[in-house]
Amino acid sequence: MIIIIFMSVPNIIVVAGSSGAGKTTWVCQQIRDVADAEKIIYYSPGTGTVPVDQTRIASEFPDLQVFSDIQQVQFLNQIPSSDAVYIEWGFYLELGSVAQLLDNLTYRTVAVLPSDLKDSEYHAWANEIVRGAPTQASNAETLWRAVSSGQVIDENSLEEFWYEITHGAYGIVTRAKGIFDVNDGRSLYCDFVAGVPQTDFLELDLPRYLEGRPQRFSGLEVVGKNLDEAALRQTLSDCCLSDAAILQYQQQVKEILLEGEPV
Amino acid sequence: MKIAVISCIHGNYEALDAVLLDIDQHSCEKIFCVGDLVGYGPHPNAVVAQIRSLDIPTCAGCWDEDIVEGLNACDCSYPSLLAEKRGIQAHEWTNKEIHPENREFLAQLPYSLKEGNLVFVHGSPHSNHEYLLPELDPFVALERVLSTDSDVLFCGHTHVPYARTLDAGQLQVRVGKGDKAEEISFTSPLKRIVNVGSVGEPRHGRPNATYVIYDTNTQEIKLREVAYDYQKTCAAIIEKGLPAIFAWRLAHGLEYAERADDPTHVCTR
Repeated sequence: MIIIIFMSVPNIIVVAGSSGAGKTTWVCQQIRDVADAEKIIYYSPGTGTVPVDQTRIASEFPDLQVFSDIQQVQFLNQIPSSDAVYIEWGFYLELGSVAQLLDNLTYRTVAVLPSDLKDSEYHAWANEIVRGAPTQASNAETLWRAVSSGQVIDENSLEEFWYEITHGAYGIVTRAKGIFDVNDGRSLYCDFVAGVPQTDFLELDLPRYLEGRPQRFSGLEVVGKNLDEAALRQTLSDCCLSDAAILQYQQQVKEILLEGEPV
Repeated sequence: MKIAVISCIHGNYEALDAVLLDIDQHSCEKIFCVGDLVGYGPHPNAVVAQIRSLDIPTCAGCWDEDIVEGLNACDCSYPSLLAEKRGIQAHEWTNKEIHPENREFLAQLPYSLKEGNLVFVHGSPHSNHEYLLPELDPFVALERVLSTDSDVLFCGHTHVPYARTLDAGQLQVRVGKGDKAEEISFTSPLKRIVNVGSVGEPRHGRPNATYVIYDTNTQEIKLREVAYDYQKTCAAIIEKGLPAIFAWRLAHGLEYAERADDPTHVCTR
């Protein structure tokens, strides 16, 4: 007797595209259309110790399983038991490496690209082209990353620093994104794409961190030309609160919350 | 008589030179300076020397005070930790750079100057650290002018020039408590606040220097904006080892470090 076992085949989608075109935004849109995110998994290789997109997406979809760089094996093991798999392929990774990662699995390729980009390696690679933001990114750019986990950033300083980053004080920046813990315990997501209208900082749906230095990810990623990395690093450091200031702010926020007042 | 009023030069000699030339071309009879000769910019000694050599009546700014007495910023001074750190860097650099005779000159600057019905202060008659922003509560604004016993109050400190006329000077004051309270009404004559902007550290989105020409006969106020070779100042900032971000901010008319911009805030020190 022959027993045939039908296993459901997960829908694997690899999303690539220009820096800032909206890869993560597109993935979020797809997940929002699904009632239950529990059996959806997300992986974005190459982000190392600065998982900005992973942190943002995990805060929006708490049921989603998000895998970090060091969890590649667990991610691959999880694929067969998932309904849908989203792999975000950073612009800094070779498109040819996708096949190496997914071996013999069947997958669909989606490229999120600015509409004025008519001919690129993505066009030849993707099954589907999605019209993205009109980003001004080019190939000759540098990627700079910094981890600020454990630090609390003075929010007013962050606004000033962000203004300087996005207006060329540290080089020609085409893309910047970051997640920061601020004075009142909130975690803020900052997002900039050159050529696209600026948005306000987004408060992530995470609990306020009010017990000392935050034990969760925060950090910054900047893409551009002629980046003054030393100045970026120094200014980020200058925005960080001391232990005494963190304690003082956290006590103030706790008192306000105890009184039932809005912070 | 036409007078020129300048402020907030902040060690920017190129800007001062251009403004003095512009003043000369407008045949002003007298120049007044409302302080902040030093701080942030690369040429504190040259600026003080020029003001001294031209014998320009000058009152002390908060930066001049701090170079004499030591850093004494209050909560109003810096709206962020980053601005505070940059301010401290600039203070420490200027403190090392300034020559003893120039420090001595700054030490003898008066808090305010008076000429007829005109008074000159750096921040406000209340404090050199207080910002008289254009949207400041009219009652507070009027009180600040009345306290000087003058008609026109010239100030700087905010780095954004403006002229404000306080023509609705109907004041009602309640004195005492409960039934015994007495309401006193009085009318104030027309008063003006003239903020003369900044010569060396503009905050209006362009690198140009600003100052004011005032005609004491016609009471006409002219806000002047003067272009100058700001790139020279930017190059000197880098050359002298000041933070490069100061040069970038100067070139963008953003000041060297951001300032408080809350018009409801009243300095309580």
